[in-house]
Amino acid sequence: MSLILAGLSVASVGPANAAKKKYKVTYIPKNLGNPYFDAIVGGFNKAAKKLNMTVKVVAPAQAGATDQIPFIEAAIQQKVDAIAISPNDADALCPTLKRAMRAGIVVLSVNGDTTASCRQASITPTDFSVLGQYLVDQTAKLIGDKGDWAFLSATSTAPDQNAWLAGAQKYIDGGAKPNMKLVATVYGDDQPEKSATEAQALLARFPNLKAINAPTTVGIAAAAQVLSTSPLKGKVVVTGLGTPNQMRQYVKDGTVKSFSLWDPGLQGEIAANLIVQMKTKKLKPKQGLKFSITGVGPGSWTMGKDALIIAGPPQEFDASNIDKFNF
Amino acid sequence: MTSAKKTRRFALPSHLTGPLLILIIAMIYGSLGSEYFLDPASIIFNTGRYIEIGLLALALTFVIINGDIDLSVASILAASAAVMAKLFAAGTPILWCALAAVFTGFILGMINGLIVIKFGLPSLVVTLATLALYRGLTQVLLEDSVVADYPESFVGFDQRLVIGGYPGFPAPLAVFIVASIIFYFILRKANYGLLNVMTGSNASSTKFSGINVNSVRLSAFALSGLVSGICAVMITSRLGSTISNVGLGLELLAITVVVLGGTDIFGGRGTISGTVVALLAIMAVRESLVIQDINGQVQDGAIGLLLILTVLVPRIRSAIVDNRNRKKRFNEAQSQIANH
Repeated sequence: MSLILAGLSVASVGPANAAKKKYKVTYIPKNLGNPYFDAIVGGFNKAAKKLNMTVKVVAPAQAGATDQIPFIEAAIQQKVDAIAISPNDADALCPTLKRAMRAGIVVLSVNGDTTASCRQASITPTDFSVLGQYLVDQTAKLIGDKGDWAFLSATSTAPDQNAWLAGAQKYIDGGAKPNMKLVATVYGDDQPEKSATEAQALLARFPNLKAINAPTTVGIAAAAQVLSTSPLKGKVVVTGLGTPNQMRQYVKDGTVKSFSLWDPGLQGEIAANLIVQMKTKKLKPKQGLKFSITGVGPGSWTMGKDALIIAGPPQEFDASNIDKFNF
Repeated sequence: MTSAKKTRRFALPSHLTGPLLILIIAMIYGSLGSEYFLDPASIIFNTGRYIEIGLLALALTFVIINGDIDLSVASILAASAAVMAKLFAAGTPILWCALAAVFTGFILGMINGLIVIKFGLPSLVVTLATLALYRGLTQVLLEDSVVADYPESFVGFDQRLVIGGYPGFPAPLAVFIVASIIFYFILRKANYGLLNVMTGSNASSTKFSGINVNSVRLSAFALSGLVSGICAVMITSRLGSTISNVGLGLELLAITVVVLGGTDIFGGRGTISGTVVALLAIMAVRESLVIQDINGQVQDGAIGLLLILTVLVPRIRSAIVDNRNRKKRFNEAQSQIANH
């Protein structure tokens, strides 16, 4: 009987992996019940199936600066092989993460970073430094490089959006898309009602407006909602950055042709594979280090300053692929 | 007769049964659920995260026994931490920054007490207002910035050991034990504690017996502020950085500890031993859940449920006993009437 059982277990694990240690990984998202982080978890699980790995996902109820600390300490106590974390705070977790590294645990930050000395490598969803340029090109493609367009942003102090808008302006000032005219930048404060009002005001103020680009998930959904019930539906383009779940109905009813974000799951897949490579190949993350994962995203990466890994280019969503994504 | 006396002497104080039961059950649950739970070094080290809550709860025990409440403790902590961070960023030596934080806490606590007493307003409303006010002050001071880069000698107070070796004895736990003993003697031995209890049970009669009720209440608020200031220094050392949302929500955890420890939320009754055991109980519950990878929402829910049960079960039991006694008396009266 025991022989049969032994035979079965070997067969199910596979002869090559039978002798290997199973890696224990804890992933700590910012909080739970957030489809965006669920997509990252999905990436981890997808990779873990192929690797010899168990992934546990635990998160606090609130996204406060210190709420993740008990979960990091529990992982240290459980002697896991690696901790991947989407940190709620760049500094407050540092002493605890350093303690984990001293205990020999691999520490990676995913979709957000801590101070560089508090983790071994960091995975970021896309290259934010060229996102401003991307937003201009994204709009240009949809309106044939010609006409009036406007930005509907988050708050006027949002650091991410402001950096992208500045990048877009620099790209335009450098002579890109000379036949397009950025007529306004308005702020919906990431509130649905305010964003909708601002979108309506743009349509009223600029009769020749060809496109609204909203580089914020709240803004793009509000603008699409306004357009979907307006006679201008199909005449004015709405694009920018949004999530497939929020935008699906507007893509299906033809209000929105295409929009973008990144694929959060890719970060999970990269993290899981990188952990195994750091363990088996003794990979030491540092600037300039190259590594590759067959069949995942772009396939190979070169680490940037402070071992920063850019997961991949922005992901475009349209009617042909939107149903493959759920976040 | 003597045996009855003996059992009475060894009987567990009733306010401790609830939290002690929770503590024991949580320890068993944790040990059964995870092989990593009963690791003395980890258990002792992990207390470090709860010490600020524990200290706030000790001070709040006095405030609540007085029949008052201080909802602003976590905001006082944040404002004190902000003052400390601002001074440090301006180049002040860390020792002075720490003293300034403690002093800020004391002053903000005094302000709470003075508003409550001078204007005769309910402390619930006053400290609800200062909860927002002091947090707002913190945000004005720090904005979105982070103050980090505190000196190595200051950071990591919680990882320092008073007694080295295995499992070791970390500094925060030592602070908490010393504080508990001091608070215990104040409440039990000094007149101050008696005044607290009297004030809480009947403020007006205490006042008319020539006791200065207001100074008792004021000093409890000041103490609560002072302790919040001390906690600001401890949390800054533990995290090695300051941001404006530091300690957000700690007041509710601290009040939970006090109430779980058997202190009457309406005042007049409460003990330091209850607060200490309740802190241990909450620590055990949280640690036994987190080591089994149970998420934050469930942990919060479990604590809430335990709090309700701890408050409810004794009430239900006494209601049943009352009811039974009433029936018994009724039956006796009936039989007496029947005998006539």
